Amino acid sequence: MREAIVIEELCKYYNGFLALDNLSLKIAEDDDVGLLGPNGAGKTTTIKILCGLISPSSGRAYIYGADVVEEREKALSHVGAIIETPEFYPYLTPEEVLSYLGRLRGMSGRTLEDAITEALERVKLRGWAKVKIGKFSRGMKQRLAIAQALLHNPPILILDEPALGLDPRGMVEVREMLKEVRERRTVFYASHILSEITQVCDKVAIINRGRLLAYDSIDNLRKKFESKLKIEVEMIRPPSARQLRQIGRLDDVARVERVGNKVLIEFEGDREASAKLMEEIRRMGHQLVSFRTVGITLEDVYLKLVEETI
Amino acid sequence: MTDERDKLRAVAKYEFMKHLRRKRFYVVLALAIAVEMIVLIALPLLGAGYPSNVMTMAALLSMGATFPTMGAVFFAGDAIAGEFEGKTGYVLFPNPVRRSTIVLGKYLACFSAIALVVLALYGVVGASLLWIYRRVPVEVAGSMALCLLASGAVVAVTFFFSSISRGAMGATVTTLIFIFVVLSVVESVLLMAGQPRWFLLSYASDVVVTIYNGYGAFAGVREGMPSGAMRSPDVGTSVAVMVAYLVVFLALSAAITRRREMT
Repeated sequence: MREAIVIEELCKYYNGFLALDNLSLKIAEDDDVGLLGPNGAGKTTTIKILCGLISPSSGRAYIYGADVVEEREKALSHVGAIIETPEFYPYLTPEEVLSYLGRLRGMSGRTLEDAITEALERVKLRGWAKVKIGKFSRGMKQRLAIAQALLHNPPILILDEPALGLDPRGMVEVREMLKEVRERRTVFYASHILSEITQVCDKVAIINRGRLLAYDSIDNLRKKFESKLKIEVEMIRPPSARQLRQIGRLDDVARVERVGNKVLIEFEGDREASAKLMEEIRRMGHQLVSFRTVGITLEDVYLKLVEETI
Repeated sequence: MTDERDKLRAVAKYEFMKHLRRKRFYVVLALAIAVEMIVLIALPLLGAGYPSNVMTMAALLSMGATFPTMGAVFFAGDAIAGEFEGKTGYVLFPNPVRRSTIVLGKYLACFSAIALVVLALYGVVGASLLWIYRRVPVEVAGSMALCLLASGAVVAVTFFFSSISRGAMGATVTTLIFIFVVLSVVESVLLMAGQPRWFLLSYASDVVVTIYNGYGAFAGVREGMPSGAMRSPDVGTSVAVMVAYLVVFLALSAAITRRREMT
């Protein structure tokens, strides 16, 4: 498959501070990749280099083969981007802003008019098309940011924390919109919010201190880091400390922890052993509400990797 | 190239639209007209009456028309710095358009906005002269053209400071200090020292007024002035100086903006 984004040994220094440390990444066409990392990991720096907002200290980045520094305009013609929390000119209306940006992307006439209507409808701002942006809320501006990113129907979407600063409802709305538009597009989505990444992306690149720690599909990463099965047991009454120790002594139980009414068990046995474990817990007199295995989450992988680099 | 020209047209069009929708455009226009009104109303009110020489009156009114030059600083101060400070650059810069095209488009928009103010003011100058003297000297058109050029040069200088400043306010204040304080002080020092000052924008832009009749239009200013103070700037040299300021500072602004990082 063709590579949409290629990042080769990118380094970026800010006044001597190393923000990106030999970062390399290849993103195939139609892949939806999340760039995950704590604050200050280098996510925004990577995105800004790809969008031609800053230059790398060394290394190269390409979008569909075009160098983002040497062939900036060609590279950006394939991209729709949302970077941080963008602002718009308060004196213009959404229609005017989209018309302005559309023309900068080589659109005109009926094609541009139709694209503006479609983009505004998609982000539910059609009714606000002729209202000055100065009157808009943060959420409305973020929706407009999505509209401008999609306006020219770009094959690549580069998004940096697109739900930043939004209320929970706004976050859900943005996520739903992005889930809708990711079809037939390459999405490169930087965030430190794991739930956003897991809902929009199939693959994840985890970075910290400017270095790539892992890059794989979310499923593969889980498998790689999954050594013990986790079982979550919900009981009518929470177990006492003594009862918890008893559970801990059962066969194949590696670790046990109480979280409210629930008990989290790290278990080394197979499916049959897990069925036996459930019986043993019942036999100890506990009334079970639920008994379910929970796989390792992306959060577990993320925390493990990030902790290792601290 | 055609593609880039279309983009330039788009930048100029929407940036111009922005200027027309901002309060500062109308404030500058109103203040500039108010300055002309002061000249027109104060002279008869103070008992001086209008000068008998139409050129003197034209020079007086054209002094008010240099007000847009100062207004240009307020229009252009945030042109570049504002994109970085206000984060609008996050939407504008990741587009397939050269930054030099953005700078040039913004310059054209800003210049067009200030040109509207200049044209309106010279409309007042022309109408006033016609009303008082029943004639408009041809020099008024020359003064207007020079005023437009001076405004263009000031906008270019402001763009330069806007491209190196972190914020719009800083760019505006720095430009005002540079043009109206630093250059004026240098000009005074050179004058006192009997050195040439033709290369200073502040001196060259005096040609907007001196085109009528040199500094001689204003009786009484000679007393106490150092020798050479009454030497009015040469029109040709002043035009060349203003064009040089315009080209050099605009080119510097484009080069700096192209390299400037949006961190």
